[in-house]
Amino acid sequence: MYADAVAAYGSALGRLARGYEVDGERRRDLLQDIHLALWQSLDRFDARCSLRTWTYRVAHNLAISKVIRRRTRMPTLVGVDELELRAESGDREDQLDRARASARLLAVIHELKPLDRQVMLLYLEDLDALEIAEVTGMSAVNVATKVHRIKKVLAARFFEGASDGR
Amino acid sequence: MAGENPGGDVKALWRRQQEEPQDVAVASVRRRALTIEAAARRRSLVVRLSIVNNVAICAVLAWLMPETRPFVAVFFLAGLLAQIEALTRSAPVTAPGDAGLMTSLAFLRASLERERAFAARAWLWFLLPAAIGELALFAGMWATGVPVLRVALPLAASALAIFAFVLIRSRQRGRLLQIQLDELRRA
Repeated sequence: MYADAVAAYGSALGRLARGYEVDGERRRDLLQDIHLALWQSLDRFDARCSLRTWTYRVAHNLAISKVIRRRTRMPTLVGVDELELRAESGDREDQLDRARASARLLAVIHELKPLDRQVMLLYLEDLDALEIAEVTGMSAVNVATKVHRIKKVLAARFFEGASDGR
Repeated sequence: MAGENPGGDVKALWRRQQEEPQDVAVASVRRRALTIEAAARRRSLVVRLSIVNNVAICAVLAWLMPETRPFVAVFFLAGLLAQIEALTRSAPVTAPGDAGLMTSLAFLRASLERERAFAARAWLWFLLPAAIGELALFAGMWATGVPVLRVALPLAASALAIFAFVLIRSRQRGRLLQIQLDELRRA
């Protein structure tokens, strides 16, 4: 089952680690910790949720608890609502090349408070509001509100039509 | 940018970002598991060594001053209680096995509440037994005629300084964790 999970979500786990850790070495450690936690946790997988939800829960719970532990050294994290306000001030660059756009997207993600960051990462992995709610434990309405704000932030910072209807 | 990324989709940008080589071969995960186990063993070893240290100090005191043995016994038991509590209440080194059973909010709440209890109740699991142990030690010194002003008072002053430091730091940590818990409730 571990092999199935890695085959299906291995790349997503790598991207998730990038979303949580800027430093390359820490990122590699986090990714290995996630794989280890996933491997150990699958004994308790009882199919009450999908393997995807399980995998994301394990990965995000592990990553978010590390971010929270270092939170005292990162007092500048903001919520998606704050980012939305900043985005309205108009610092969009439409002509970014892909590498710069990727770097900028990561920078936006790293600015976010842990729970908002989690919603954004799951949104970027194409989970819908209900699936995000299943992973995070927030209400679907709350998730939908956050996703709406995330879309506005992304649209303002990257593309005018970033949203895709989800 | 829009031209390079015709879908105009930031999700596609996210998924197409340049992937790093992922060092997650089974061997590397095993190595990581060994590192984590070693960290857990080190932590356990530190507590065991401090217990051995406690035993050695008490044994020397009981041997040199037999009349202090009841007081030394209280000091030893109080110290042992604080050491065991520190080991059992501190955050686990390994990831909990139930991480997939809990949503992030539940998981974070549980771990923050645990840490807050660790910090906010430091007076109960650390300061109280440590104070009882210190008082027993001073009582033993006084009973055996050790010059209190010359020996016990400097010891008491240093113990008080440590207690004040632990109390202030644990309260600060508890308040910070409470703020994080309040943020979680609002989420």
